[in-house]
Amino acid sequence: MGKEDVKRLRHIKKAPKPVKKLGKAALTDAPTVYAKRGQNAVKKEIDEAQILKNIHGHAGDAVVLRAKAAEKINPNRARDVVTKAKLKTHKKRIAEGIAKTAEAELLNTEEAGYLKTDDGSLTYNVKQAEITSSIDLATATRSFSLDLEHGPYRFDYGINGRELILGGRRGHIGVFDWMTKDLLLEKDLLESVKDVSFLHVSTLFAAAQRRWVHLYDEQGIELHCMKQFNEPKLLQFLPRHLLLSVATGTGYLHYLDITSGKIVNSFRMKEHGNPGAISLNQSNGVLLSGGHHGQVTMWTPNAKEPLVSIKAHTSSITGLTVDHLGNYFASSGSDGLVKLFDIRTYKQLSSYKVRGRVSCLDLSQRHNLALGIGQHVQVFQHVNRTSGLQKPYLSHFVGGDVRQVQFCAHEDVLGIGHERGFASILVPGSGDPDMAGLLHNPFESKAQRREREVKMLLDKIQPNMIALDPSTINRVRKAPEKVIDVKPAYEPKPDPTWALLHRFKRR
Amino acid sequence: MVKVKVLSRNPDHYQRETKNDIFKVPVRNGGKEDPLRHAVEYTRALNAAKLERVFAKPFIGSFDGHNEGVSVLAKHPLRLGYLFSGARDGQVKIWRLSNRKCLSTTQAHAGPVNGISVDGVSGELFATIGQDAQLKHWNLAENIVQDLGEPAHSVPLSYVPHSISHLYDSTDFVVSGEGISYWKLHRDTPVRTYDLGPNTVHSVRSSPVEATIVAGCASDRSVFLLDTRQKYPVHRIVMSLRPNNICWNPIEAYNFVAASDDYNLYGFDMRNMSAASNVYGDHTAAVMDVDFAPTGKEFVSGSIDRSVRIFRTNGTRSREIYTAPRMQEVFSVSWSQDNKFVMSGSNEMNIRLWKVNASEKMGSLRPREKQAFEYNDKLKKQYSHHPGVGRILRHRQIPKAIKHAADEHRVIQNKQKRKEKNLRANRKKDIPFTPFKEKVVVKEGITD
Repeated sequence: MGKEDVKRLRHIKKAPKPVKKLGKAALTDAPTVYAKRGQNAVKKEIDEAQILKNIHGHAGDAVVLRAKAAEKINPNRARDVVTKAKLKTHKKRIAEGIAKTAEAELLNTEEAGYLKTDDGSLTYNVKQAEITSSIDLATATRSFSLDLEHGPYRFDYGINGRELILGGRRGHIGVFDWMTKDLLLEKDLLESVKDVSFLHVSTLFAAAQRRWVHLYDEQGIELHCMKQFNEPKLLQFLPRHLLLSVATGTGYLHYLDITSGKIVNSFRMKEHGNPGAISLNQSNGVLLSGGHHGQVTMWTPNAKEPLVSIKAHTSSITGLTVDHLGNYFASSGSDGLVKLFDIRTYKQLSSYKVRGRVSCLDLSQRHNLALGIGQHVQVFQHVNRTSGLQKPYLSHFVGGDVRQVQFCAHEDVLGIGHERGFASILVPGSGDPDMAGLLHNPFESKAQRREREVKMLLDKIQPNMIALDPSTINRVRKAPEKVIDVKPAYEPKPDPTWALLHRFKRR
Repeated sequence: MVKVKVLSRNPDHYQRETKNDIFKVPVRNGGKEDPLRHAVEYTRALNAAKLERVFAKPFIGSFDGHNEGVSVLAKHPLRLGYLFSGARDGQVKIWRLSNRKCLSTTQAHAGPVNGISVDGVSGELFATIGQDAQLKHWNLAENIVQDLGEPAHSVPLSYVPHSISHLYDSTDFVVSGEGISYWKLHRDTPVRTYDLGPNTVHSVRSSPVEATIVAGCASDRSVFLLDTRQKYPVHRIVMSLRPNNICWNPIEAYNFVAASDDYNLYGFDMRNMSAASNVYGDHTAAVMDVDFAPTGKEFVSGSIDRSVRIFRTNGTRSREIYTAPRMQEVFSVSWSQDNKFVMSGSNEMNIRLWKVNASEKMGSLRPREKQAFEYNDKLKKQYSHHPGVGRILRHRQIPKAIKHAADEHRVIQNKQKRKEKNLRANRKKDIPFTPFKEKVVVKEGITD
């Protein structure tokens, strides 16, 4: 979130009103939220003012977070002189660190992309051909399209964003480096493929085939066949926790630990089963899934029941995506609405009525939302702002029915998997220019990849640490208040003779 | 017309040019914090704690060669790599620490060697005292010969001396046995003697900071404080059980630690000896010797319960315990002056060399290695109070005998506490709370 966004939000007193389009004004009230903690269901309606506070507070901005943490340190509360002096120097160091962090932002070399029309006309009308003709050749090659015949295609960019895997419904698998168009693997699996996903390196990938989930090598050699996952539909890899989550058509959700090969946990999703879309909240490792009844549920491998269940749509959910900072998420349903929700307060932020059925959507790192509507893709810019979901930024006609859209991390590129193949289009201003190279480096060499793999394994976050608030591990647990039952000093014994008095009372 | 900028990265800026360059890694400066940093940091702290325990191999080697139990260990104040050891058969050996070789063996005395002390001015002279009531001075050349032969000077004493200690940066020294006597070099008689009563003074140590202050332990459970400029002792306290040895804190001039027979060590401030300033308890048998680290922050103690323990000066429980299956009662300990090693001389004729930090990697570290160790140390320190991490950091494998003894002692202590608590609850008169530190000093003052 940029600082100007934060400033804007401060001036807004109420939550933004949902934009009414043609059709029923369905669900304009705040949805009631059923937050389940284990067995008890508690109905919550959260205060509006908290939204602003939350967006501002959890901006993810390093400077803001550290300043807030430093404020909590109060040297005057120290009991002795030595601790007081230590806290003072500690606070001073944090302040110095904050100043250096703010200065260090100058060192970032890349700048985000943008698209501006000279005569003030709508960017909506700008086509890909016009964009590619205005930029250099090397970047223009990033916009391409592949005409393939083997069924609607699902794809995955992987951790690095360098390699791309395509999986066609009729069993066609292709792994290639989309920047250099270097083909790494092409294979026919002879079985239907519902979803594909890279694991922590691009040399390993998982394919959700007709009956089971199979793991393959970079050479196409089948490494594992997980027969415990029957009828897999959707795959989602959790990169920091090294878990592969599988949503099956039989109504189960499985978490597989790829380092040990053991299933961490399996849940019966019951009425939330066989979801239309799942998405990972990267800021805490919680999986969001959208079911057929319009409920968005949040799952962790530690609880049998979903942690949170939000009734987002009146009909089944077709697309779900979470902001990479974990502040809000967007969902689309069969009712033709696209809605934005705040993750922490579960409150609807805005909604947009679409002509046609939204089949999929995705959020980019700079808050651009891409919708796959029929054979078109519409992109909205800066949806985190109040004016976000009002008019589209870009539009693109794809030659086939759109099945999956996904932005490539740190690139201004949107991948579209459709019925007739794969397309990659340029969306200026959607990628975050600064990348943390130790976690995401598209230019890594083989040695760097190996080092990254080892470091990822060492820093693997255990599945039992997945919680809605990732900082719980560092909180000081307050001792529960001991309630001491004070016994009365003297307990009078009941007098036996008087106890029988009731027998003699007149009724 | 449109103005477009699409994010495009030049691969040359992100890849190294030649095989001899280091890899380039794009860094995200300022900006966003990793939202999972708490869990990652905790995981790293946990791994650091586990690795520390995996690599905790403190025993380096032993110095073989003595034919009798080692009673005395002494350090050379000017030469870092030497260790002097005296055994019960009167042999004095000089060892080189770097290769654990014995440089010289001398039959110094006819009975057990009771003390060795090296002159801190020139470093070329050291004195030994033995059960045969002899005080001998030996020459120590630059190249140490195999057998030192005859002493440079030998003084017969009229009593059995038990301890010797050179004053800081001086050729003068004090000898204790019957009282404490103050000697100068090349003299046959002491300059001054302090009569401390009929009891043997079995330990005397001079302060490394205040050059004229000397502390001694006598058999009547007392600790004496002397100033060598004065004619009479300065102060005396009597404890509940006999202190076996004393060591001065090399940084804090007024503090010293006494290793006592009642399984504890007591820290004292010489300015206020009415109560102990600190109680260090973890041993399960009498503590025989104590030596401070040159930083003054930690000290090592050896005890009859066959263990060597390292304590922090401002703590109460031991930070580390070192045992070996074949190590018997430890009678002398020494902390090397480079703050890396601890030596223990024990009853089974062996001197053992241990690391101060059990999982420390010895030798020169490469810069990244050093950085990784420093980061791990800081993580461990930060998370030492976290239950998951702290549990791993505190775990030590303790031999059965010590564990059972410690459990028994705990039961006894709990019973005493419970009795006192019951007394306090049921007596009409208020029983005052006296902390254990105050109970340690039974009597104070020179006159009885």
